[in-house]
Amino acid sequence: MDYENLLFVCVAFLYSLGAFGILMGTLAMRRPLSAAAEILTLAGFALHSLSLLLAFVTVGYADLSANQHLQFLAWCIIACYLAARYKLRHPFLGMTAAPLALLLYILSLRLTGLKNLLPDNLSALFFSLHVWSLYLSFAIMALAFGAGLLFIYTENRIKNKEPLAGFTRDMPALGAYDKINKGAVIAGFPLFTLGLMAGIVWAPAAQTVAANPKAMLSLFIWLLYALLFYQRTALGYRGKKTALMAVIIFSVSALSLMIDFATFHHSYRFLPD
Amino acid sequence: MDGELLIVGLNHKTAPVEVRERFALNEGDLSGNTLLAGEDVSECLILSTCNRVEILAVGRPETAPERLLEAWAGVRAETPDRLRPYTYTHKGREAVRHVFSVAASLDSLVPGEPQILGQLKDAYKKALEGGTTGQILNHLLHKAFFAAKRVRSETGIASSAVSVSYAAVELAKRIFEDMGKTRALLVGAGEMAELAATHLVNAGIASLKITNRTQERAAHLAGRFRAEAVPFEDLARHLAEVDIIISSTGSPEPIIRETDLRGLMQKRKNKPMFFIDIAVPRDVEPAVNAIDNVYLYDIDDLREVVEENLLHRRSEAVRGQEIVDGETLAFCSWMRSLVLQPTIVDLVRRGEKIAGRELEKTLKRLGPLPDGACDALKVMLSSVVKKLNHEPITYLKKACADHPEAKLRHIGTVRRIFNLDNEKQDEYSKEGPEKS
Repeated sequence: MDYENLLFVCVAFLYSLGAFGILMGTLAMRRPLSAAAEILTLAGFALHSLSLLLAFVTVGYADLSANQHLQFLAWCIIACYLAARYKLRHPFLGMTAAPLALLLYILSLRLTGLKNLLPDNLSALFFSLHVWSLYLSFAIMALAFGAGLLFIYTENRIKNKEPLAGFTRDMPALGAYDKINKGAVIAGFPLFTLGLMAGIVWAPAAQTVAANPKAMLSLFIWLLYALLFYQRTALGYRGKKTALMAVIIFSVSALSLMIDFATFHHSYRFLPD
Repeated sequence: MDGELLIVGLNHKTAPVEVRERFALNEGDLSGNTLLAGEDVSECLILSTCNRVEILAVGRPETAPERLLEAWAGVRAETPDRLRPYTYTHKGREAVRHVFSVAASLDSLVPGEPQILGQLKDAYKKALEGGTTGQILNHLLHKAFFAAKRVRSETGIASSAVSVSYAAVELAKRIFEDMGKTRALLVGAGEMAELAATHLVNAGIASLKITNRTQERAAHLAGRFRAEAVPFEDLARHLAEVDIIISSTGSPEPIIRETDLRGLMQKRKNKPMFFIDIAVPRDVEPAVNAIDNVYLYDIDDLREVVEENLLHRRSEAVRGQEIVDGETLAFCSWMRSLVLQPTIVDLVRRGEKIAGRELEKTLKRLGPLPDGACDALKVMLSSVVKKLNHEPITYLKKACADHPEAKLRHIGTVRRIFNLDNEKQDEYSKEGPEKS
């Protein structure tokens, strides 16, 4: 087993334990379990960072394979989760972020050997800008998705006078979820716009078809995102409506991402090593 | 050890309030030193609260409970027979379990209430000052405080509110992330609303406004809470500026209506509002709860929350009892080891003395030694003594744990084999009694 495979197995193992522990620890209100699981996730993240760094150094960013791209997306989600966790001092976002990152990381196995064929002169700037911005906005929306689900569930119980039993007793206030939603929209929308713009500039140069259904879906996501951004910043919307919007935007984005990697939208091809 | 651990007491389950009042032991009624006067009791501690009176003691299990009852009833000029029907007596392991359960608030009227732990700590402090506790009660109380801490931190027994006013504030904390940034308005001035306002102020809200049909009453309350009294006629304007509203007026009609509030929410840019309607008839139209970001709880809703919380506490108490049982086992194991302690100490000292004597003789014979040789010999001898003692000590511990009923026989066997009692007599005759 070479070092790349060894690192992959270690990271997947640590992320699996971390995701399982955070979920079980939070749901069963066992703080020591979720704390231990967070340490494992952090250890996995450190190894994950190392493996990506080695990939950047050995092949360069523009030559990353499709599986490395998906692993990079998983890395962005964990990085955003850890940053939010540090700020909020609560692991609840890990309930969605950790399993999602794990899923993407494991799914990356299916894309082994695929590489993106990019024209050398443009790949460095626009492709990097396109991918970095979209990955970050996706990771940020993943947090808003988790916070949105928890908001809807908890708010529903409060509105209907149902007891806040089980894990909800140990969860933050509705205001905390709403704050995550606001932060995610304010940071995520400009990033998504930047990523989309870079993609529009880069797509013709990369000889991909700009007006395909996938591109239309991206535009649809952008419109939803823009609506949410407008509602939050100009109309002062908050609470359930914005939480629901975040859940929808992330779900459509995840669908778009799946199409992206499944249909080789970005001209992924099998290349011999 | 001078005796067994025991408890004589009564509580809210065994005695009605008039009996608890009659036999309450106030400060100065009965001192621990009075109980220690005879030979039946060697250590004691008195715990007296509104729901329980208990005397924790170490003493002769056959005679000490009666002695404690006599002293206790005597304080109230009663006979023990008048007190006995309401009391319970726990001995040994049951006594340990009871003390741990009391400290962890598992035996309280409202499980998880925090006062009992403070009261037990106060009682222990007084007993310490009076010098009525010894090795066993000191260890017991420290372990009881530890068990209580574990139960509070490892279960949710104390995590939910069990009063209507506190439940309202706990709900507010589930809506607003930072209570320090929330503003509250008290509409009307009922007793429960005042209590809720007290809890809100304690939770650190940013500001409190009070309005009432009688302006003087509002001003009086505002003085108490360092709040702002506002005219009742300006209620609509002030509603737009606050996040939590506690309402308890005597109005026969709702004073806050859904239609008014919809417009208000737009002005507030949908900032959440939490209405706590304690009034009967209700002050806030129930339809208000249907507005986005508006939450309404009336008195019945809050009572249901309290009921749910009590059920939750009781279910958590079962988990707490498991922790207490584990700690009880550990304490009982320590108690058992106390019986063995003098024999183990004698055994170790015997070995050390023999080794010391033999080393002295050998050093005299050998004459001057190179540097470090003497220390090396001492280390070697000490190691040999420890290894030789290991087997009999392990045998003693295991035999006493497996057959506690025969522990005295096992101890006697080891003492005879190693001649520990004759050695002690020899020492007494040579050096006088040992100081421990």
